Order: sequence, then C-alpha cells, then structure tokens
Amino acid sequence: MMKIFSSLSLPTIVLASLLVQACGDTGVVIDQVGASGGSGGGGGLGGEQPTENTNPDGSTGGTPSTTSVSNLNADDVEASRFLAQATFGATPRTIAELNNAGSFADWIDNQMALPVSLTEPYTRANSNNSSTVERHEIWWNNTLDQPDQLRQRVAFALSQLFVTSDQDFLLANNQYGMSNYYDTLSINAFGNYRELLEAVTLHPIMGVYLSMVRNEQADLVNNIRPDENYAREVLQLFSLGLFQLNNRGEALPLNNPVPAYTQTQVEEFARVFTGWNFSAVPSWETNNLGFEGTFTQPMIPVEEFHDTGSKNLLNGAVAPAGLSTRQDMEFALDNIFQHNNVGVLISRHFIQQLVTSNPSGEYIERMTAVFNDNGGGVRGDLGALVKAVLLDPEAREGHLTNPDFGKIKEPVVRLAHVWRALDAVPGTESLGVHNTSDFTLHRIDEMSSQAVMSSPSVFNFFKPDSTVVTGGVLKSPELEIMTESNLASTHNNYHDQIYRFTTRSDIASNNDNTRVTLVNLEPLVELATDPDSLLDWYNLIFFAGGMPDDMRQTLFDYMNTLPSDDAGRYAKVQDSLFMVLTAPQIHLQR
Amino acid sequence: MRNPVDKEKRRLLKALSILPLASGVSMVAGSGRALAESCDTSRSLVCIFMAGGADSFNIFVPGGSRYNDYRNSRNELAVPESEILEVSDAQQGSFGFHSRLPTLKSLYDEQRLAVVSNTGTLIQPTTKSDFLGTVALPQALFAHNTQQKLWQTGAGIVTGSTSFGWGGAVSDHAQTCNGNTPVAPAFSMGGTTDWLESANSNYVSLNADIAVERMSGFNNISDWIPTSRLSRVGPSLESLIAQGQASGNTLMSRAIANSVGRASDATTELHSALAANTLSNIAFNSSNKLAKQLHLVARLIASREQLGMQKQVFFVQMGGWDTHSDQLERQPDLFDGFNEAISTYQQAIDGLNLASSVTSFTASDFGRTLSSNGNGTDHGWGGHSFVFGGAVDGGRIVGDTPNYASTNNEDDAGEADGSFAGRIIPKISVNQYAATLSRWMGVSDADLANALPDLRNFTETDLGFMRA
Repeated sequence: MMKIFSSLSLPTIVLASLLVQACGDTGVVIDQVGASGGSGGGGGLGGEQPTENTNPDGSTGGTPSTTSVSNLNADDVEASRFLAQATFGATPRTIAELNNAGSFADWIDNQMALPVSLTEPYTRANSNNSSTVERHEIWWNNTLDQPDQLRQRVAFALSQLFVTSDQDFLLANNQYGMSNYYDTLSINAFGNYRELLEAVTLHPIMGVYLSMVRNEQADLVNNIRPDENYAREVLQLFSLGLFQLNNRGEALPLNNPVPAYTQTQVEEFARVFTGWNFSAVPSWETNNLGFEGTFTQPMIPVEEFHDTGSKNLLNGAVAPAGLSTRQDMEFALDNIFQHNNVGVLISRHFIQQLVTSNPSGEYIERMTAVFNDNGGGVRGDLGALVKAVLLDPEAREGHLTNPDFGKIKEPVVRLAHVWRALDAVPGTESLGVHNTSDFTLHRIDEMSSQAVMSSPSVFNFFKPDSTVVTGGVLKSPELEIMTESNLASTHNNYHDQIYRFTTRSDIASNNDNTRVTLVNLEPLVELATDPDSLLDWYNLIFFAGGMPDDMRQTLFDYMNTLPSDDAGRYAKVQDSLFMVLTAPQIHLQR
Repeated sequence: MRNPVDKEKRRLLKALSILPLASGVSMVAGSGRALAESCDTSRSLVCIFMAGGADSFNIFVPGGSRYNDYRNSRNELAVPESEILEVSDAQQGSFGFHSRLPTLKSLYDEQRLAVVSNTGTLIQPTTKSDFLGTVALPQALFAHNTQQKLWQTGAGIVTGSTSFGWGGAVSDHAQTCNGNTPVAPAFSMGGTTDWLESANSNYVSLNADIAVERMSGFNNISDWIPTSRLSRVGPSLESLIAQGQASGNTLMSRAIANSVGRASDATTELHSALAANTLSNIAFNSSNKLAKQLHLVARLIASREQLGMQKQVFFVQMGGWDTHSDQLERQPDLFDGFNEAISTYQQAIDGLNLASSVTSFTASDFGRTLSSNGNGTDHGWGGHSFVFGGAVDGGRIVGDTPNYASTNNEDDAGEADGSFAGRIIPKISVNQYAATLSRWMGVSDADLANALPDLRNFTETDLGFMRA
C-alpha cells in the first residue's frame, strides 16, 4: 500500500504551483470551453459566461471560501494537453518528464527510440490461442505501465485504420496471430506507410479477415471471379477513401464528388491479389491450418493460382502481363501509394485520432505535405507524420482560437487515463492483470463499444465522417458510441471504481471481488485539505487546464459541505472524483 | 425530464439551413381527424438489418426451370434442391427457403410473411441500358457503408443534406401520436443507425448484451454512497449536465451533455418498465445476439402502456453476412442463428396477442453477386427482403423475381460487352418498400414525400403487402 502511495508523487513544479495561494490572479489564461459561443452558426445565442473572477452574485474578486479559482503553471497545462494527444493521458509523472525533456520534439524523439512493448510473447505464454482475454490483458498492462506511450497510442490509432477484429470467429481463435498483427502495427508505427501497407496486406490475420488468402484467378467457364473483398477495402479504408480529395481533405463538388476508383478498378485489383496462401501449410486446399506460423508469418505466393494478365490500375497505370504474384502485389501497392489521396487520408486519420475531429484544411494540407515528403525526399514516413501532427501550430494552439477544436475521448483511452493518473494496481487475487468490476477487459466493448481490435466490422468502432448533428458539418466520430447503454455502463463502472475499489476499500469485509483493479486516492486525500488544490489537480490532469469555471464552482461548493478530517477528506475526494469522471465535460479533449 | 424531443436539435438544424423548408402541407398538421385516425391503433415497426450484405439469393431460391439458371450462375454455392423447403406463389410458381430457415417457410405458409423481391437502392426505375447510360445511379454502389446509409435514408447520395432515416420519419409520427413521453419511442439495439436519424426526435440506443441499468448517483440510487451524501451528489451531477447543456457552449459540448442527460432519463424510465415485463417465459438463446436484441424489443413492445407509447420503432442488427469466403460453411450458422431468433421472437409477439400490431422486416447493405468467387460471393445490389407479422398480406412474392441466368441477363449490372457481373439491378426501390411500411405506421403522404424525395420517381408508392 505504501509503495503505491509513494509512487504517485506530483511533479515539483505542480506542487509548487499548488502551494501558491489561489486567490485572485490566475496567472494562466484558461481557455473557456464554449465561452466563445456556439458553433456552425447554430448556437450563437446567449454566449454570456461568468468571467473567471465573478461570483455567482455578480460581484468580483471573491474570497476562497465562496469562489474557487484555478491556479496552474502554464507549462504544466500545455504539457498535459500534449500528453492527452500523444499518450494515454497525462499523469503527474509524465508531465514532469515532459517538462524535463527539453522540448516536445525531444520528448517525441526519445519516445520513438524506446524499445517496443510487444504483446505476442505474453499471449503465447498465457493463452491457448483461442482464449482472447490474454491479448487484452497484455495490451492493458503495456498501456498502463510501459514507457513507450507514444508508440502504443499510435499503434492503437493504426489498429483503427488497418482494422481486424476478435469478432471474426476464426480470428478470435487465433490470438497468437492477432497479437502478432498488433505488434506489426507497433513495430511499424514510426516506419514507412508503404512497408506497413505491405506487412498488413500479407499478414495472414488480414488475409483471413478480408479473405485475400487463397484468392484465385478467374474461372470464366464456371462464372468464378476473384474475391473483391481486400481489393475494395484496401482502396476504400486503408488508402484512398471513396472520393478524390484535394490536399485540404475536401471531396468536391460537395453534392457530387468524383469517385476515387471505379468498380472495374476494384475488379482489377482483385485480380492482382490472387495467389497467396498461408506460409506454413502443405497445400493450397488443406483445411488443416494447425501449423506453427500459419497465422503469424507473412502469406506466401503460389504462382499457379495467380492471375497473370495485365491489370488497369489507378491513374492510368497498367500492371503488365506476366508479373509474378509478388511483383504484381508490389506494383499495385506502389500504385496505391503514389495516389494523392493517401497522404490526405492517413494524415486526417492521425489528426482525428490524436488531436481534433475537425482539423482545418490548412492543417491537413501541411500534414499531407509531410507525408508526401518528410523533408528528406521520403514519402510515407509515419514517424515524421506523427511528429508533425503533434507539433503543428494547430495542435498546439488551435484551442485558443477555435471553439470547436478538439475531440471526444475514446472510452478505452479514457479508462486507461484514469487508471494511469490514479496509479491503479491489479486486485490482490487478479494475478497481475487488470479488471473492471463487471467486465474483464476483453469484454469492455460491452460496456463502451470499444476494446482493442474488437470492432464490429472493418469500418471500426465509429466512422471518421460522422457528424454531431445529422446532416451537419462538424464531425464527432466518437459520439457515435456514446449511447444510452454505454454511458450508463461506464458511469456505473466509475461509480464502482471509486466507491468499491480503491486501495482504501475494505474488500475483505465487503466480501467484494478481489480481482478488480484498485485506484489509489490517498494523494488526492492529502490535496483535499485545500479543495482548490484538489480541483487544480483535476483541472491539470483531466482537463489540461480547461475545466469550466461553473463546474469547478459546483465541485467546490459540494466539497464545502463535508468535514475536513481524514474521513471527510476521503469523502470529498470520492464524491468530487465521481462527479469529475462521469460529468459530460470530461469527455472533451481540447 | 430532458428532451426526448430535441428542440435544440431542430433549432440548430434550422440555423444550419439543412432542414427542408416547410412545405405548408406537411408542417401544418393536416386535418385533426386524419391525424387521429393514423394514431388510433397501437403499432410497432421493427427493422432487422442484416449487416454486411446478406446473400438473400440463397435464403429464397427459385424453383422450376429457373432453378437451373440459378444453379449455373451460382455453381457450387447454389443451395442443393434437397435443401430447399418448397413454397409457391400464385403467380410466379415454385420457390423455396433454405432448409435452415424453417420459420420463414412456416410464416410464409401461414400467409404472415411476404417476400419482397429484388429490392435495392434506386433513384428512379433503372434498366440495364439505363445502368450503362447516363441515368443517375445511387452513389458509391457496392460499398458497405454507403449502401447501408442509402438503404436507411432512402436517399440517392450519401453526401449532402438528405441524411435523415425513413425510420426517423416514422419515429416523428410516433412522437406526434404518443405525445410527450419521457423516453423517445424509437430504439436501436444495433448501435448507431442512420435509419432512426430525424430532425425532430432522438432515439434510444441500448445494448441487449447487458441489462439496462440505472445510473448510480442519480435519483438517490447507489448501494455504496452513504445516504447523507447521496442526496446531495445527485443534484450536483444534474448541475454538471445542465452546465454542459448551456446554450453558450459549443455544439459538441452540448451534444455530449445531452447524451449523458438522456442516458440517465432513459435508463431510469426503461428500468422500471422492463422490470415489469421480463418475458422470462420465452426461452431466448442468450448466446444468440440477434435473439437477445429481439427479446429486448419484445419486452419494450410489451411495455407500451407503462411507457405511454402508442407507436414504437425499433432497429436491430445481425452481423456476419459479408460472406466473401467460406460461404458454404458460414451460411448454415448464419441461417440457424437468424431462424432461431425470428422464431422465438415471433412466438413472443404471438404470445402477447400483439401479432397484428407488430410488423418486422429485413434490410441489408445489398444483395450479393449471383456469381461466385470460388468459395464466396461479392457485393451485389438488388436482393430479396422479407416482411412478417399478423398485418402482412403474406404467402406471396411481391414484385417479379429477377433473371438468374449467367448469359443474356437483362437484370445484370454488367459491362456493355454483355459479360456477366452477377450484380442484379433492383426492380423495387427502397423508397417503395419504405413508403409501404411507413404508411402502415400512419405516416402521411406529405411526410413521406419529405422523407423520401425520390419516391415521386416511382408510380407504385404502395406495394400492397400490408393489410389496412
């Protein structure tokens, strides 16, 4: 218990700022969520908000006993914002590390140089291959405890681009392969898109998921044609999208955009992707797939099943007749890679996953330029792209000028952040793995519609173009899974976490579940001596300085109703933290 | 209670100018008498969406001389004659359901199920020469997400402003009939769906895999927060929601806060209604995801009175239909699961004596190719749909079944050189199908014209498969 307690220490710079009397001057410009009025021309009415030092009665310059005022260090605030985008959320420790790193760019370079945290070794050691829970366990352990946060966050984003899923029966039963696939994304997270696209294309997990494996040349006599599945989705979802895009990400004209490819081109690509088999099996036909490597080693070409005719691909390119299975595939992936849409689509994916649902056209244009040329003449440098996405002026300062800047946090990222920030430890009898009160982690999609590599289809958990209001302009992909059921389940999960499963909970006398992950509230109980300090901690860690003033005041007023002895302070922490973690305001990442 | 009818949503949409201008006729409520009539009877409409593009050509198979065409086109993927449960249509002769779908056959035999043949996304009647010519075609044909959206919205394009679902129009009408119920009368157990999107009303999205739980902390509910604190925690939670909903906030902030508020209201209300209607006497297979969704639907239909709902709309979804590969292995399992779910569900509805007031229908992204890719089928266009319930004029095929031949097929969306694509051009538009079902729910012609702008391109706007 003490070990846990001491491991959550505030960075000195935060402690220093917390000690400053929080009276009057804030010293930091705190962006007001929504203070600039509505968006999209729709909500421009009634934009008046209390200014920072205005009391509910309208007087100014109140006293700490009636008005709660934020007092945060500007560097810490920006560090927290950055870490929300680049990791699974800021913690006191990572804020300190980032502040000590020199610059954000240096921190990124350091992160990219860290060893890759893998999942396959653990899954192999602990799963019988058809048990899915272990792959999720190691993903959570890596996410919560390993230092290569940027890589893991980017790999998670990639797993939502090059989608595969446990919900496919065969994939669910090949967890060594699924782990290997995820590790392929992690290893290539800062590599080259073209190489990753080939690794994904030839991965047997993808081969099964989008049925490229054992796809054969046409048999016209019997009306048998090549399978179009991979051909279509590699174009629609992994590279081009449906419509021609300009470098600002626009498909024009709006009401009748130009298709990026035709059905005939899908059929041509389907002919390209013929002749691939599992590497480890003795024949094309065998149903016996039980060989080491079947689902982890790249698929191999079998020339006799390949369509050797010429193929008309994108932008007038023709793959000549007579190419081998592998040559054809490489020709086609090169052809896709050179299409102008690719940089736009991949840039927008990273921006939406990490930074904001509604990037400006200029932001997308700048990122597309980086994708197209990293400055050293290399196209498709994902590391350079990730770095550019995070360091772009819009990522760093967009929230200051654009009220619609930001995104809704994904439920998995939200839970990971809460556990990291509150130094969560596995339950005493959980054998070192994390669990929520009602759901083992491979089933948290039932609570939130999201679990790593478990989406309902190749279209991911949510669609990148779904909008806040039907038919509207502003996008909010993650809002799609904020359903009544999901909100109720996650709400109750946070309730249980705070009231039943903390390091102070008497699990034994409560006769409660000894396998559930526990959060450590003790550092917050200390801070609760001065509720403003506790609120500053919430504001810094969970809101990156953007906690709305009215919310802060509500929490402050509530805490003032409770006594200040240890039990009272624990109650203050429990109730205020419950409110913070379940409030609408926490879903927004700005 | 917060906004089951989302006035803010409508206000925003108006400001964004994406609502069609009120066409006098539709917005000024017609005669009160007509409205009363269309609201008079309790009715529920259930969309069963087969996500991924169901191979309906193997669900409902032609018999007689057409079977050979079908078998030649499908090759080894054809359903063997020995695995067909034969039924007949007075005009079109012999057909059959796949042997794994005995419930569809019995419902057909009982004249409670109609097959709506070769239905799909269409902007206007479309022939093969139209397809090869310049006639406007539905946007981004053969792609999953776009065709799902067009099926669910009845629109011809996915971009632009025609994004509301025709289920949303039904839900609007239900709101009008029901009055201001605490919970919207539109439910999805299949996640987010364009089908229920409406300018005026929200829908409730429930996960049938888990129980509908109330949110702890609200309404004095918690086994763990001490009572003295609990009574003050709830109001604070409510305050935070209200703060998020404040008009000065951004659209996204308000949308989030509205979602949280609706979740609390809906789960509170539904929890007690569902507790009163467990339908525990019906043995739903808890490992069948569709069956679980339909079980919840049946419980909500049984809860009509508690919820104050004269009319209800439901969306459920079953995945796994995208059978590009291993179709022969996958189809029997898919059909078994589908059949089992439909069977227990219709039994439940029959048991409630509500068969004549509940209509269920299938929809899917698209039909699949008649041709094979070796061990599966690819994305097609037209396919068969199935409508069942006590109010269905069933035991027959609605519309002409397509040409199944692999040569000289005038229904094939192939190339000009006559090569066979196996993608069948629909004869019946989603618009016609939607209009027939919506009208049964009481949606007026004027509202239908708004919800389904392309409906006017088709002469037959009621396919006649619903009894009055």
